[in-house]
Amino acid sequence: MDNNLLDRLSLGDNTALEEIYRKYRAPFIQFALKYHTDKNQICDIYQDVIIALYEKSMKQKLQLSSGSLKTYLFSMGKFMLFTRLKKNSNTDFIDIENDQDLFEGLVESFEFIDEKDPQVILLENALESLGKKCQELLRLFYYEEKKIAEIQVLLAYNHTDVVKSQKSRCLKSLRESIELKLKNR
Amino acid sequence: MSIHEELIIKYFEGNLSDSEREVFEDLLESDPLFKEEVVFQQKTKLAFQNNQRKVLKGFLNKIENDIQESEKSTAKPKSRRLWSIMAVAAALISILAVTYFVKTSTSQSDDEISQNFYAFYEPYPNVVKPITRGEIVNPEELEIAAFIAYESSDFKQADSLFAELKNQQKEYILFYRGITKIELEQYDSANMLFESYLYSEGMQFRDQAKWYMALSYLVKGDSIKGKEELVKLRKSSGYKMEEVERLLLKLD
Repeated sequence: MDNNLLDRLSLGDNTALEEIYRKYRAPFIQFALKYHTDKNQICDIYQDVIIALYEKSMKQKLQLSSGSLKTYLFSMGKFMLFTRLKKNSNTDFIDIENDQDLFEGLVESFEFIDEKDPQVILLENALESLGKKCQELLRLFYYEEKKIAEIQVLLAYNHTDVVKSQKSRCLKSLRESIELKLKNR
Repeated sequence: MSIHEELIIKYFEGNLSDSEREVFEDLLESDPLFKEEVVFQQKTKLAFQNNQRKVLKGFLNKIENDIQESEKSTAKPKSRRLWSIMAVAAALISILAVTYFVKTSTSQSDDEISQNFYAFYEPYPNVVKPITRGEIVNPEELEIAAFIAYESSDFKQADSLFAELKNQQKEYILFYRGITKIELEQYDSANMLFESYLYSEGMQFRDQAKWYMALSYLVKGDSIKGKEELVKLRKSSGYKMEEVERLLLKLD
């Protein structure tokens, strides 16, 4: 049954996300209360765990060979809980990507970027004002980590080269839009 | 499409071959424009991630609110003081979590009685050493470290840190170490620590120490001693009066 849920999740089905959230919420809280007493914070972490699950499944990086979904959620939750307690940060997302066991390859790419980087904040806003086509293409590439060839199929482009040049056009207009914002300050 | 752009695409796809990775890394070092482009795209990636997470978080928050609303409407709590509601909630959670706390190796019927007592138990909150969140643990400050471990339910760690503070002349450490020992299921040590506390000059937790000592005896299975402590507690104060009565009724 969980397999079916996970299949739907990997296709970006939000109702599957909700089902999973409801299904494991109570057991998760019960489990986490062994380590920490603040229920609000536990709920917060549970949400981050579910989001991490969603992202991994979307990126087709979810391999549950070693255990069930529940085990997976619990161990990730435990990890996040301890990281968060260590960091004492209440509101920010902890860096999910630090989880070496669950995420390899792209870890180093985040090392030299400060999350509070002003350019990132500018980009967050600029992305919203980008054309729909560009948003979709870039989201698939950077967020869902789809390969250019996959994007070609998904968005029905004639050739991967078209995807690539479209992508660099989108990046260019993104750049221009934040440079404009910087100038107008 | 320049070779640089191809490299960057492959990098984000996770498709760099070993030799390409070498070129990529050399370029990062030697070509500031190349590096700027990579960093820009990484930031774009991060920005997407942040935006998407915000959306997802909002979605999950809505579900969470729904759940909490429906929980509220099914179980209308009486208006009590906040902490006592929390205590009741904690007790309920303990009941639910009993299977976690009590070692699963023993058969259920044997443990049924002590499980019942565990329902009354929750670790005593740290009221002596307020921990300012945001301060990173300073290892010099053993006592703070001990209470951080205690508050984070890392009782093994708390136990060893409390042990190092033995000569500090602070009675309350005996009390908190007693709680820690209960968590570690070392009930005899727990009781010895509560006894020492009661023999010491500590005033702050006398009733609490009696209460926890009683629970510790009961969970251990020594209902005679447990009952004795409860009776003493009833005589000396009104601490946990309701619970004490309920427990005594159960024991009769």
